[in-house]
Amino acid sequence: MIRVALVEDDEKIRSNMITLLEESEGFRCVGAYPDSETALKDLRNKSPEIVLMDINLPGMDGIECTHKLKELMPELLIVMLTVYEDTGKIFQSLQAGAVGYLLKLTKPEDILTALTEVSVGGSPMSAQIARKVVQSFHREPKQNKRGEPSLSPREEQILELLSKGYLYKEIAAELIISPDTVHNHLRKIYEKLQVHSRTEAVVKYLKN
Amino acid sequence: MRIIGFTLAILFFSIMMFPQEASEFLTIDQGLSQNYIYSIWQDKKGFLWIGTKDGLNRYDGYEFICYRHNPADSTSLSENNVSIVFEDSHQRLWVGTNGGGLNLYDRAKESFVQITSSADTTTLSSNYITCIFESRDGFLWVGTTDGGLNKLNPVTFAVQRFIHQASNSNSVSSNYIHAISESDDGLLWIATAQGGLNYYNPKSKSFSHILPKDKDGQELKYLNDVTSLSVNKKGMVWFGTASGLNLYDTHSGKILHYPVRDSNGNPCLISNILEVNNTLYISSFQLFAAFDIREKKYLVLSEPSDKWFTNAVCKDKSDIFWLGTGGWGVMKYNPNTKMFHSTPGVFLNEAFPTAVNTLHKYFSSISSTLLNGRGTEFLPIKKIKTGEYLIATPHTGLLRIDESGKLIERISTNSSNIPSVPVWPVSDVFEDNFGTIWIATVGGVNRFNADKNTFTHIRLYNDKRMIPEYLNKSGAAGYSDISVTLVDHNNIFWLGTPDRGLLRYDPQKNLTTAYHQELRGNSSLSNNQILSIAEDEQHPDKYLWIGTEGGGLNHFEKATGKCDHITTDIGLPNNVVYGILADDKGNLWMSTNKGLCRFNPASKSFKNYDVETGLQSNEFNRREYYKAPDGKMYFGGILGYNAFFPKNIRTNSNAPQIVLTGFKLFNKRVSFKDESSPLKQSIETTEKIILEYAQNVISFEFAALEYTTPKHNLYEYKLEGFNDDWVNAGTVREATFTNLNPGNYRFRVRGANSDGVWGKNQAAIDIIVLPPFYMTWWFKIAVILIALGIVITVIRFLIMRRVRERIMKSEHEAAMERERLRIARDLHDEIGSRLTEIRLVSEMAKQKNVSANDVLEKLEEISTASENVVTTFSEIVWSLNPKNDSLENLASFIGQCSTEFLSKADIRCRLDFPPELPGYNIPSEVRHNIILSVKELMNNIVKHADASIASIFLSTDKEELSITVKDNGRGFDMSNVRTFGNGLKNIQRRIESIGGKVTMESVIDNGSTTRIILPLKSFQTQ
Repeated sequence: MIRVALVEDDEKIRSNMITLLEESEGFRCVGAYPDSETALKDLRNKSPEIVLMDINLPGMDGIECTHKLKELMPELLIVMLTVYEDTGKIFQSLQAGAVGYLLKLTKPEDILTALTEVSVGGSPMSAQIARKVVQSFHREPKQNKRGEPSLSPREEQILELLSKGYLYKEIAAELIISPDTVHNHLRKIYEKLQVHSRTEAVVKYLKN
Repeated sequence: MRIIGFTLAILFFSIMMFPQEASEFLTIDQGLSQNYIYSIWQDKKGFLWIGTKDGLNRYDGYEFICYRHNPADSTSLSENNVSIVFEDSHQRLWVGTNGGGLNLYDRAKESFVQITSSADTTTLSSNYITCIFESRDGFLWVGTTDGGLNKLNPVTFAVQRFIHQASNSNSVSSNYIHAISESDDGLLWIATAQGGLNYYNPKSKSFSHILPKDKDGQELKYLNDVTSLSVNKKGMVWFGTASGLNLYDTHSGKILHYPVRDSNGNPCLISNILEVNNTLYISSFQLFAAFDIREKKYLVLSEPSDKWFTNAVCKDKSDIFWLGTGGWGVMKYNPNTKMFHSTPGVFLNEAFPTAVNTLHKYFSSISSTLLNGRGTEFLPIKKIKTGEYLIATPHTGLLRIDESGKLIERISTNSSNIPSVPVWPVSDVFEDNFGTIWIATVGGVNRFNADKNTFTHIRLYNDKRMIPEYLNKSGAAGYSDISVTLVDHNNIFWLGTPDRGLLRYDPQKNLTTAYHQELRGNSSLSNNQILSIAEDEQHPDKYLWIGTEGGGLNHFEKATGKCDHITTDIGLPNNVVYGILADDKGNLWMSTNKGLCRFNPASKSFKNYDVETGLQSNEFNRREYYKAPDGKMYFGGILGYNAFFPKNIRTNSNAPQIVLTGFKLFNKRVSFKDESSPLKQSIETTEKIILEYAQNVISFEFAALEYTTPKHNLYEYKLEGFNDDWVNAGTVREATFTNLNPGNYRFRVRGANSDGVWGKNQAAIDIIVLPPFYMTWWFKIAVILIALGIVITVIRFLIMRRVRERIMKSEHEAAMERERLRIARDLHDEIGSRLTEIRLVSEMAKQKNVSANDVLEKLEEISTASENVVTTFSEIVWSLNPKNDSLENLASFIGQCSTEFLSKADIRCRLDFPPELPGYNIPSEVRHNIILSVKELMNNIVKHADASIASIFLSTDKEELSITVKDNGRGFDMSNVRTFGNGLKNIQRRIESIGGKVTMESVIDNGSTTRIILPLKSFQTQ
C-alpha cells in the first residue's frame, strides 16, 4: 500500500486524482490539499509516502512547499505534477528535494507505474534535467572540498548518457547494469543534488 | 735743480693737502681674477677691461666677468698673462699678452680669435706684447718686448714686421717697445727701451732716432730708456724716463727734462702718460701725479706708502682714474668725490672771524675759565642787521662787537638786572624787527631795555629748572630750554624747546601759543624735541620749517599749527635734523646724524651727502649751522665743520651708458652657451629673444656703466607691449616678468648716475613669446573643426537614433503584428481544429445508436486529440514565454521534443549539445521557427527515413548556431528532393525568415543530414 498525498489547486484534477488513487489497487490517497499552506499544516499527521505536488500553486508555490516539506519530513518522496515539461521549474523542484515529476497529461496507468517506481527507489530523469544536473555540479566544483557530496564517476557517466538522449534501458545496456541500478543511481543523484543545492544556497546567503 | 726744488715744494704741499685720498680698491675680494694689474681700458660702451697677470676681467661697476686661457678651447684667451687691452675705432677689443700674442675679442660669442707669432714673417714678430696703437690709416701698431714693431691689418691680421737691425740705421733702434703714438703730421712716435725715442715716417718708410747729446757732445744716457709717451697736436712730444717727464719740441729739436721725486726724494720713473687738456696725468712706481703743462708743475694726487703702481692707468668717462697696482688690485681715484671741504675745529672761527678774534683777545686778557673751560664754539652768537655781533657769554654778560671787531658794549646779564630769573645759561641771543635785543633763558625770553640797562623777563612756561637751587645743584650748563629762536618778518618769535615742542610768542600782544606733538592725529608736530627752525622763503607768511630730534622735518603751517612730516620714509637720510639752511634756489640744506641732505621742497627730492663726499663726519651737531650774508653755509659736527657755497656743490653730470648684463629664466642666469638657451649670443649683443610659452619667468639684469657710486645708480625700465610706463626700479638692477601672454614685447631700460642724471641711451631688447601649441592658429582651427565634427556627429547620431527608434518601433510593431497573426493562426490551425475534432467526436459518441466499442474508439480519438492540443499548446506557450528566450532553453526544448517524439516512434535519439551554451537572447519568433523546423525534421525521420537512430548536434561558435539533424535511415535521392517537397520547403522558408539557412545532404541507404545555420550576431547577449 503506497500512501499518496496530493497538493493540487485545480479541483477537477484533484478529484480525478483522488478517484484514480482510491480506485487503484495498492494506492491510498491519505490527503488532498488545494494549497501549500494547508498541506504543510496537515501532511505530518497523514504520514504519506509520496506527495504529488503541483508546481503552480496559489500562494506558496510547489517548489517552496517541497523545500519546506523536505525539512519537516526528510524521508518524504515528492513527485512534481506539471502541465508542461518546464525544465527550469522541474529542475528547481528537484533541487528543492523532489525525486521526480509527472506531466498531468500522463495516462492514468502510467501515473500509477511512475508512483510505484518512485516508491521502490526509482527516479525519472530526462536528458534536459540530466544536462542541468551536470551543469549544476560543474559550476561550483570547488565546493567538493567542503565534504559536500560530489558525483561519482558512474553517476557522471549515467548523467552524460542521459543528457545525450539515451533511455534508461539503453544506459543499462551501455553500462552493463540493470535498469534498477540506473534508477538507484538517479535517486542518489537527486539526493546529492538537493544537498548540493542547499549548500549552494547557504554559500550564497553567506556571501550576501 | 731749481725745478726740482720747486717740484718738491709742491709735492710736500700736495701731500699735506690730500691726506689719504678718496680711493677704494677693486681686488680679488670683489671678484677680480688677480691683483697684479697690467692694463685698464674703458671701452666705448663703458665697460672697464682689466688685464691682470692671471686673466682678463670685464667690470660693470657691480660684477666681474673673467676670461682665461683654456688649453682645450682654441677660442679662449691665448694666455692668462694679459699685458695690454685696447679698443680700436671700430670697437674691436684687442688683448695683448705676455707670451700668447694677440687676441681679438668676439663680443657676440664672448670668445677670442688668437693671433700669434710664427715663422711666417707676415705674422707677429713676437708673442710678448707691450702696447697697441691705432694709426689714423686704421692699422694697428703692436709693440713687443723682443720683436720690435708690428703693423697689423685688423681685418686680415696680416702683419708687417719692423725689427731692429744693427746694420740698418733706418730700422727701429730697439726691439723693446714701450709705447707708440702718432703726431698730426703722420709721424709715428715710438718709445723704446735702450733705443731712445724713435719716429717712423710712413712715406720714407724709415725710422729716425732721437739721441740727443749734451753740450760736451756726450750722449744723454738717461734718455735711452723711454718708458712712456704722449704726443700732442702742437708738435710737443712728451715722454717719460727713469726720473721724470721730458718734452721734445719737434720744431726746435730741443729736449727739456722735468724731473720728479717722491716724498722720500727718490726719482720717479714715468711709466704712463695720460694727456687731458693741459694736464699730463703720470703714473710711476711710487705715485700718481698731475703735471700742468703750462705751469710745468707736478701735483701729486696719490702716493700710497704701502703700495706701488704699475703702468696701467685709465681715466673713465666720469673722470675717475683707475690705477693698476702691483698686487693690490685696481685703485679707484675719484678727484671729484671731495665736494665738501672739511676743516677741523670750530666753524665760528671762520664764520665770524672778527667777533671771535675779539672774543679771544677779550678773554685772553681775563681767563679762559670764564668760558667754563670750553671753547667759544658753544657761545650763542648772532650777526644782526647793523652788521654788529651779539655774543652771550657766561659771567661776562652780553657783548656787542662791531664789524671791525671793536667791543662796543658789554651788557650785564646777572640777577641784578634780570630780577628773579636764573640768567645762565643764556641759550640764545637775538634782535627783533624793531632793533630790540632779546636773550632766551630758562622759562622764557628777556627783553633788553636799553634806557634802563635792564632786562624784562617774559615768562613763557614754568619749569622746575627755573628754581635757582635746582640749577645750582645740577650745575645746569649747556642747552637746557629754548634751544632755538627765530623772529619772523611779522616780528613773531618762534621758539623751539628741547622737550616741550614749539612756542609762538607775539611780543606786541604779549601772547604765547604752544604747539606739541599730539598722540592722536598725524598733523601735529612729529616730535617735541625741536632742534632747528627756518623760514619757508617761498611762503614766509604761511609756513615754517621745523627740524626735530627724531621726528625729521616738519612743514609747519603758522595759522593752524598743522604739520607735514618729512622723514626717512620719503628719503630724508636721518630723522635728527640739527640744522636747516635755505639756499637761493629754494633748496633746504640739513645737517643730520647721517650726513648732509639737500631737500627740494617743490619736487620733494633729496640728495644726500655722506662722509665719502668730504664731510667732516656723518654726524653733525645741534645749533652749529649758519649761513653767511654771502650765501656760504656752515655746518658744524663732531670732527670739525664743512663750509661751502651751495652753488659749488656740483652734481655728477656724467650720464651713464646702460647695458644688459644678464638674462635669467626662472631666476637662473642663462648663458647663450647653455643647451636650448633662448640666447643665441651674448646678452650684450642680443637684439631679440624668442621664448617658448612655458618659459614664463624671465629677468633682465642691467648695469649703468657709471662708476662714481654704482650702488646708488638708478634704473627705470618698461616692457612695451606689457606696460608702457616706466617702472622705477630704484637701485635694483634687475627686472622680472612672469606669465607674459604670447606676443611681441620690447624691453627698455635706462639708468641714472648716483646724482639722478639719466642717461640718454637705453638698452633695449625684443622679446617674442611664442604661443603655446594650444594657442596657435592651426591648433585653434583644428579644435574648431574637431568641435564642429563632434557636434555634427552628435546631431547625426541623435537624428539617426530617432530614425532608428522609429524604424525599430515600426519593426517591432510589425513583428508584434506578425506574432499575433502567427499565434492567431496557430491557435486556429492547431488548437481550433483539434478542439473542433474533439467536439465532433464527442458529439458522435453521444449518439444513441453508437455501440460501446465505438464509444471507446471515439474516446480514444478524443484522448489523442486532446493530447495533441496540450502538446501544441505547450509549444505555443513555451515559445511565447519570454523566460525561455535563451539558447539554453531552446536547446533544452529541442532535446525534450526530440527525445519524446522519437521515443514514441521507437527510434533512438542521440543528443550532442555542448555542456554550456553562450547566453544569447533568442526571441520567441526565432525559437518558434526553429522548434517547428526541428519537429518537421523529426516528423520526416519518423515518417520517411526508416531510421533506427537519429542524432541532433547543436553547436555554436562566435558567429553562428548550428543544429544538425542526422539519421541512419534510407536516405533519398538528392535530385529528387521534391519527394517531401513541402516539408523541406517549409523548413527552408521558416529558417530563412529568421535569417538562417538550411543545407541538406543525403545518400541513398546512408541516411540524411540536415543542417540549420543561424547567425548569432543579430541577437543580444544576456
